[in-house]
Amino acid sequence: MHDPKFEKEVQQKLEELSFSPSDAVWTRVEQAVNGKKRRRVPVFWLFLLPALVMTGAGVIYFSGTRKVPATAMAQRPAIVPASPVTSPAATPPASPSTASSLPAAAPTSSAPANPVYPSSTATSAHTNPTYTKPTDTYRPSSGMSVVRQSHARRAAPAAISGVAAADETSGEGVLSGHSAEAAVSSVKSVASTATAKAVTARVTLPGRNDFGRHYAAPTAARLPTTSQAFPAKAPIRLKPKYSWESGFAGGIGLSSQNKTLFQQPTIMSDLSPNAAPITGRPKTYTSQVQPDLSYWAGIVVQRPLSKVLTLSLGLDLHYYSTKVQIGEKVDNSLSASSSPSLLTGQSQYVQTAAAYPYYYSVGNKDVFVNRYYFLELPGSVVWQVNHSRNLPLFWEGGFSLAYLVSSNALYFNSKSGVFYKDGNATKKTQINLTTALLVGLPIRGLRLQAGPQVQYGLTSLQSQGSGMQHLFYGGLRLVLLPGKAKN
Amino acid sequence: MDYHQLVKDCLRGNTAAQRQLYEHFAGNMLGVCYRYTKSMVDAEDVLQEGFIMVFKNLHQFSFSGELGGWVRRIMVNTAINYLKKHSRYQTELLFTEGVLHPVSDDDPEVLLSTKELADLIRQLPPGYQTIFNLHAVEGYSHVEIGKILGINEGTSRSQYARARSLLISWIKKLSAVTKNETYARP
Repeated sequence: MHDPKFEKEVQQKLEELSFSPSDAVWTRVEQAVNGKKRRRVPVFWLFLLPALVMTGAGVIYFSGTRKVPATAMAQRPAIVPASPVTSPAATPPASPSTASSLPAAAPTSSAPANPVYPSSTATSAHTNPTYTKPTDTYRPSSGMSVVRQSHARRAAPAAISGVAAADETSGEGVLSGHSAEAAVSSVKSVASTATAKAVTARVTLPGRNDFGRHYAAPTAARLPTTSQAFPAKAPIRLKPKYSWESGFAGGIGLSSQNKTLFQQPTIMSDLSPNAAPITGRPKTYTSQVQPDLSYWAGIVVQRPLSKVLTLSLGLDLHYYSTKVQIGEKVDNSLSASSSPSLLTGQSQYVQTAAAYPYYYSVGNKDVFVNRYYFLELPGSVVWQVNHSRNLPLFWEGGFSLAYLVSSNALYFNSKSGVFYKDGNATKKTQINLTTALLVGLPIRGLRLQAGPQVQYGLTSLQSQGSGMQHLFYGGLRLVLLPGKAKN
Repeated sequence: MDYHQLVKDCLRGNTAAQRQLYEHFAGNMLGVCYRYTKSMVDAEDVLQEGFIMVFKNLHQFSFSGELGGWVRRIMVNTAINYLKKHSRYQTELLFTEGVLHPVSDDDPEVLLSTKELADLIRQLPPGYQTIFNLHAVEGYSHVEIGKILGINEGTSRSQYARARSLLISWIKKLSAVTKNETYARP
């Protein structure tokens, strides 16, 4: 055995051992500890910025292609008459509707209402020199965006060439010098199409057939077919593997017996045994079934169906209770001899109660707690409302099949006006509708979901009698799943 | 220092609090790491890994003990794992009975400075060094050391005895040299 003196001395000495680490150590520690949080921002912007740029470009692209053709097409009547094919006599008089549709750049020009459009191809210029559908209007269509764009690109140079031709003809054409200047100004406006405004009035444009023949066909011909551009490949389907996971579930709250969803049943009786002998006429007794404590616990298994939906199944033992005010307890074996007054004039009261060893009269002498123990098989679908890391929200909805295992509930017979226990008075099988809003709380490797839950019995609790009573439960629902979320 | 508040702030992600905690313990913990390793670079590596472990597991600190002790245990565990992980220590951590050193029960007075003593410990073979540190400095029992290093309790005992005697012999030699130097001075 060594003398610990040496060890103590060494320990004391080495306790004082201290060095100052280099700054790089803290930098690396900080990066490792807080690195993930800081990395999120650039990654976020890395995706957001291109998305914004592409969205903006898309907006400009598509909004621009809708505006430019309308403006460019509206300019054309002032430009095109320089074509030798067209003459004022050959063109029909301008109708008020088409005249009003001309742009403000050439309001006073004597441009024909049915203008001649220059064709992009030489053949079409001969075969279809005039525009024959003056009444057709521009109707934006998503399928025509490519056509319109190609048309717009051709509009400006065509217009400029048209102006040049008008200058050469100087009066022989349809346009006067004044109107040619107007056309030039309008061409300038076309050239600066970035500032061109959409024409809101009805614009006289060629028909869709003409669009297709003049502009769409060459463009479409240049476009590769889908099969050429994208050779057929077997699609790869990456289906995530979802697996079952189990956990515990429980809840606590209040339960009640409701006539409808929110209306609690009222027990009314004209046969108050205490009042009848004194007053000579029956006193109406009224009592409401009061809600009382309810709790449940069980196991739950869950399997994700998709990124946002999860199937949840379980097995629970659910305790419900309700309170009701009752009168005296009457022992059936003794009541026949000791309380004859109760029997007189109340034959049905006795007839009903006589089959049971004891019963309770109506009154407010005591409060009886009706207890129900149900074995439930809940099945629900959980929808993950958001994908927040800190507070994910879940909305759960489903049904549960319940079987009454045990109960001490009193059955109230409105005809006889007594409470008595009857095992057959309650429907043993119940179907409940349930919904819950849960919030996810990650706690040290566990997933806790907690939130309010309501459950309503679709089937009536009573198998006898006319009064429909449905079990209602409202309270806090807790689901505890071990481990971190897999998906 | 209010460790309770400091830990809470660290758990909230407060970088200033994390820096404060680091600076408070880094010096002493580097001393701990220095004793288990053979170079300052390795010691700083262990310190870095240890502090990362500290911050990642800070929520597990229950405030029932001292924060310094908790951080120190993490450092020691990190150092042991570091030695096991790195090949340059791994080969020498095999606790063989090959080399035997004379055992002396004569405990000398440690006249060396802290740094000198630490440097002497670092000159021990890694197996001896680790067991000596764990037993003599950290206070682990041989049973605990056996569990930590995956060796028998007896091996730990014998290794420690040899480490101790070797260290004592070195201390004696150094002390003698120091004395002679002292006497030689004018």
